[in-house]
Amino acid sequence: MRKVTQERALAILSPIAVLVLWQLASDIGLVDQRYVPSPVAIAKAGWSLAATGELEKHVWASLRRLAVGFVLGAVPGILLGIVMGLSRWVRAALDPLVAALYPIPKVAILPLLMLVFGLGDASKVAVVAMSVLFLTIINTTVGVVQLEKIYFDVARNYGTPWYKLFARVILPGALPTIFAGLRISLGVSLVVLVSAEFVAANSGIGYLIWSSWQTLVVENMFVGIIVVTILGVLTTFLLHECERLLVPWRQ
Amino acid sequence: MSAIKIQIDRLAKSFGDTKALADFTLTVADGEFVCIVGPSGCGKTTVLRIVAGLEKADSGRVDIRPGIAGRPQNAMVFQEHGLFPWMTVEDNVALSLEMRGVAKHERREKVGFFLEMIGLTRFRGHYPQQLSGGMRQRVSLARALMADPEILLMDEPFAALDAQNKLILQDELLSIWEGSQKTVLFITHGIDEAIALGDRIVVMTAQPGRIKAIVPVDFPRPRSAAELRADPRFGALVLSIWRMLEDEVKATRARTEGRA
Amino acid sequence: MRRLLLAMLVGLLGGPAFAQPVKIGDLGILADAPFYIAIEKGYFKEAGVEVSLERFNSAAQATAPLSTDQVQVVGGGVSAALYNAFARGWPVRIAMARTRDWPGYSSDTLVLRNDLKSSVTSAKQLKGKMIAVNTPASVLHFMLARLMESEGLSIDDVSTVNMAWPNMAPGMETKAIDGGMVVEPFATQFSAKNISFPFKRAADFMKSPPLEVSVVLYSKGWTDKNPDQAKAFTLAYLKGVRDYVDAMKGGPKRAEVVDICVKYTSLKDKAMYDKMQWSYMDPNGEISFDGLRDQQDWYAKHGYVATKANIEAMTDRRFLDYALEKLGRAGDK
Repeated sequence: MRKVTQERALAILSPIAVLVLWQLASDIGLVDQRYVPSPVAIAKAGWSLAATGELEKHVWASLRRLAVGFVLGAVPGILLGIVMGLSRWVRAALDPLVAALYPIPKVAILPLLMLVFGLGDASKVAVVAMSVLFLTIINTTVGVVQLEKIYFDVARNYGTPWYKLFARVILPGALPTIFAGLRISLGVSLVVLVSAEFVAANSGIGYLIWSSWQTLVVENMFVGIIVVTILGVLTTFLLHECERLLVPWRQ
Repeated sequence: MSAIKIQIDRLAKSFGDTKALADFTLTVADGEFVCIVGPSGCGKTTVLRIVAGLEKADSGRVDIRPGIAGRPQNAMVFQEHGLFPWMTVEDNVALSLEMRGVAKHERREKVGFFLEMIGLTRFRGHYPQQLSGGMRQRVSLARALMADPEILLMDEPFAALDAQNKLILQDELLSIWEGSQKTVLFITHGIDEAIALGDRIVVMTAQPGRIKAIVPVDFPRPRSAAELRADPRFGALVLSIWRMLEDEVKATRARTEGRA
Repeated sequence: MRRLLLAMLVGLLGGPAFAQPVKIGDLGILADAPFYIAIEKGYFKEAGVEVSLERFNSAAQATAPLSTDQVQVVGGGVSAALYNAFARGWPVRIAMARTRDWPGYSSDTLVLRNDLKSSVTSAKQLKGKMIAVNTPASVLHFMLARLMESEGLSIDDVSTVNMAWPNMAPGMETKAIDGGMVVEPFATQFSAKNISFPFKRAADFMKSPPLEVSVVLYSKGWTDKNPDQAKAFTLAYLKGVRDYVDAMKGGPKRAEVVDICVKYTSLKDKAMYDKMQWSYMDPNGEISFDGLRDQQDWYAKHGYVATKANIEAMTDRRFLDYALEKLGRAGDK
């Protein structure tokens, strides 16, 4: 037990140690504060942004877009992926489409998306959804295709009706791989969202980072970057907990 | 003599260009334990799958005498990976009940009773990955038995186990089956296993598979797989069946290695 | 972004030693013409200065490398970023003025969708409209604010969204935005494509002081180490400015200057140079302190600039003075 506590202590102490070293280096001028603000300066900036409610506004905007986009991409992605995984013909028909559309940098077509979806949340949500969609389709298809054929034999032999096949065999069988796809999608969607908010937004963490950079209020930019990191950690943790609940046999 | 349970008539099956099975004919009596041995690729698994209804024959037929209504005709015990990793031991064993629409509390009760019988109660909430190979196959067997089928189809169920666990499970299977009156078709590579378990042994030829010989096994029941080894007639029978198989196995090797 | 991070890294490590040729951070826009002219016509060579061009996407991107002396000269847009850079102590100095808006030479324009031509006749009717601006706290943002203020309103009476200039065209076509703050050639291009009309140019209402758009920035590291090279550079540069001003006014050098611009800038359509308004440059490069102060005050008031920089301390006129001494002052304003 002591070993685990030691490891936990290290996990908390090492980032704190880095921050303290950074602050010291900044104070003695080793780190040029003109370009890299000290942790204290960043904390102060974060505090004022929080106090005026601006930070909250940006975080909320990004979280909203991320959540909606993620769900809008993941659900059809999983469904389509399952269909493609089960049917050779559907797979043959849709694979080239997916392969062609997947590598298009979604941020590059953002101006196009803005024409269709307007300037508000919708275009950001669309960009996130599209990134998640393709990744989820690909991973889900793999998860279903890789299902051991024997499971289908067992299901048939023990009298599984077709409607129970999906819920009791295919979905749980593919779920670990589906979650792997979701984990990747989450990381990508955060990146894509922030980049989209660089280009065409007036709210969101990406906007905060970009506009702070444009106006050279570097402390705020760092606040934004740190917030993105925290969001990343939190959302990953949430997904991990979901996985723990839904895929208990892989723990 | 008991009535015929399974009548297999001139079964043939090809997969693409490969003729796996040619002219397989076998009569299985009700309550009989029939073992099938043969070299790899001789089509023995195909026979089992066709009887199970998982595969359709190209020609020939399988007739199964219907039994009590409501009882499933057959349940299969697979070699490995037959258990669903996402289901607990309890859920796996209860599979047939669940798919039949039996209510949850009833399932729990029935399965609980069953697990108690097989001594797996402690593991009811475990997942298959948490169990040893031997235990997994016991769960597999339990699942099949829980379905209470007329016919048990077993495809090399003990192949992945070590020699010691094999002996234990063979004896367990025997003790469970001997009271049950189920008809069993059991595929194995192990001649000694076939003799220990079966009433008759079907020896198959190399691909395309057909029956080379059917050998009756006269050892009295109840049997013990380990104790049978001491009987000198056991060794003689093993050798004589091996002589029949030897050529077929060598022919299979020549075919597969020659092609490779 | 990458360059800002690189500058930060350099700031951490202490900066490299700089090489002899002068690196100019250019943007490929019309305002960079004096650089290109001075290169093509050999003014730099004459002055004994070797130069190289380093292309950037925006002035903001170029400011950090300028401050770490990775480039020595940049044409910087006036913006909150500029003042913040100074306030942070970044070692850059304003050497001379660059572009501003003047009647007939006013590039900074608010364009509005064609279908609004009849309904919007004064800035008052802009209330509640959606106007695109390319960057927050920039010259064009400031101009929009001043326009609203000229009619007793404020910047908060319009909604703004940040968008790159090219995207404003489809933005207006789909009626997602009502108008945009643009520079030439976009103002003229959009008119030609029947998307929008120029509603107000900066020079229409910003007279005194006129809208100060950009300045020439020098790296202080460079001017400290090599003031003589900086002087020689400025002399050559000012010659380029004079040629630009001549072309701007339609003088004999115009065709030549247009050819040079077509070669170096991203505007390759020769005809466009005659259709659009050029930015104004003072042939004597005089900095408008009032103009600079005016903008900084607005940025500070609206929270874009936390600590105001001392405008006079931001400038270093030694090099301009040297060039003016050698070339003499040009005639008019």
